Amino acid sequence: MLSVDRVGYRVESRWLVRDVSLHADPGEFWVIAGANGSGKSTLVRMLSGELEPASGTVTLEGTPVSTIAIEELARIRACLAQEMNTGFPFTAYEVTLMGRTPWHGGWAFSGEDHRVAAGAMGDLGVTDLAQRTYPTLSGGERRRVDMARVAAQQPRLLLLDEPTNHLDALHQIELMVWCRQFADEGGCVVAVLHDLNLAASYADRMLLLNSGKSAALGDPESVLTPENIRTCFGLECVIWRHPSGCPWVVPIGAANSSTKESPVWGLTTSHQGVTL
Amino acid sequence: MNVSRAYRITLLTLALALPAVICVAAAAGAYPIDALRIPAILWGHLEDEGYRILLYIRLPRVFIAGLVGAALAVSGASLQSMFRNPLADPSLIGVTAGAGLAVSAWIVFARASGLLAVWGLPIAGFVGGLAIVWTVWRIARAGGATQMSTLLLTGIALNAIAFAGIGLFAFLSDEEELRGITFWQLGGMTSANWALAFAVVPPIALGLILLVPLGGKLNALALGERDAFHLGVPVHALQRRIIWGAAFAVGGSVAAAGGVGFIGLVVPHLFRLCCGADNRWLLPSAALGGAILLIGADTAARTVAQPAEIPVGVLTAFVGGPFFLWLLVRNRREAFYA
Repeated sequence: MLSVDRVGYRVESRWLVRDVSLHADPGEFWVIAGANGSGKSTLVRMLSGELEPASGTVTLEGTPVSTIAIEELARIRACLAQEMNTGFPFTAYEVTLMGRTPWHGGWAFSGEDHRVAAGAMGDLGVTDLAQRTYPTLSGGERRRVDMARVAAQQPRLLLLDEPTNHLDALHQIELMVWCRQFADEGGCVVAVLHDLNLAASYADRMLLLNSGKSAALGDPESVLTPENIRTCFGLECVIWRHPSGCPWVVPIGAANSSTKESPVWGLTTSHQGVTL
Repeated sequence: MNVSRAYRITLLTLALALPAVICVAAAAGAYPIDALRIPAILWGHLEDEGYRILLYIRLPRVFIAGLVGAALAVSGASLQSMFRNPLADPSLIGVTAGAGLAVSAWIVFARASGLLAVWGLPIAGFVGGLAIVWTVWRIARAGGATQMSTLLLTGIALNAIAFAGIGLFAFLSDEEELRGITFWQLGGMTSANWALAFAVVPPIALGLILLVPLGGKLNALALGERDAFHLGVPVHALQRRIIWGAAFAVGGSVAAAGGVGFIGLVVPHLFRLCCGADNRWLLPSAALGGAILLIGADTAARTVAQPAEIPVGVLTAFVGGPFFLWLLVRNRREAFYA
């Protein structure tokens, strides 16, 4: 589906992303994680064809992304960018319907387009918002309407940059369940997430970025180790188990704090082996 | 979905209202003509006074007012989508003034006569308009979006420069040229005749042909440049086309009617208030609505103080200025990041 071979991107002499490779197949849910400024968004922008890699190649279904016409590209992959707002009073339904743009050139929408858009709003739980104007929605509601627009695009590959931003706890989980289902039905999802526990619960594969380089790659079990998290985030943590059996990252405190004392729990890092 | 019903009804109403407004406008004036008899007079070819006044005085004026209104409203709507900013208007961001500067320069320096005097005006207006849209686009755009404050401040600066240039040309000009420049500054259809009308048809028609079919793509662009790209819209080609289209349309309308402001702001906003933001319906409706509004304004301008005439640009500014202030107050929060 998506093959990334040693891609890099640089601004002048500074590499934002360097030598990152991954191979995502249909049916897989990938999560990219890393500290702020570790190159996650830059990587996603290269995957979407928005940025041309300075080195390496991104291949989509066997074809280099840079050689695919952008109308064709929009029928294969959909992309949720970080934040969106508009000063124009489009309704949530109209915004969702815009997801159908690549399928007909953006003039007349067919009955099929309307069905797909209405279905996407139902799947993402935003049917009630359909007639509200987009600028009057809250941040989380906008995010979910954007997600419905991306779903209405009916892509085979979903690229999501922090899709759970502004969402409450329940809606985060509902979104993850939707993504999981999208992958289980044969799609491919690549999402940037900050919540490592959401990633551990729903993703098949994870990529940890550290200063633009690939720090760990594999299933959540092997990627989410105290060592990797200390290296990439500077965070001390212990790994517990979610009732479902997935790893559960419990943060203790900053790894380099001089007192080695957690500001929250007053625990020292020497406690981390002990049952708390 | 019943949203599209409001769009459909508005577009249909405007399409039916335009011929009626044209007849009423052509009938109004010092020499009374019965509006209902206009089709009969034209088809009957009665070579009486009414026919001549209608054909050579009233109709070219109504025709030009309609064209200019349509051009300004469609340019305003398109520029608003391009700058992703609902307060963009050709006169506020300096495009009208830039085209006016070029037209004034043509009047003063070219000293052309005959055909060139008339056909040179829209060409000069186009060049001036293109230079300004392009400049505003380069300056006010940062990271895929335009800051409201940067956009309006750029407009203030470009307006100041253009008006300084026009002032300089007024200072250098002789009496006849000065009349031409003053006419431009106030804005109006007083010099309307068929020769001028035909000279400005090509640029305005070209502008409308370039802009009106862009609705679906402008919708995607209103979400943001990145989102439009993700939806398969070739953003840079689209922006280039808007710049060229707006320059043609505004350049042509400035050559025909001078600095008529606020049409590009008022018409799209009224439409958005009535039904919504869908540009596929907005653009054709703006063309019809702009034509209706400017024909109406021009008819009012030449009849309220009969036999004297108020410059129509003064009239639209009196209505459009307060409307703009009201929008600013209403969108105070959104306006600065929109």
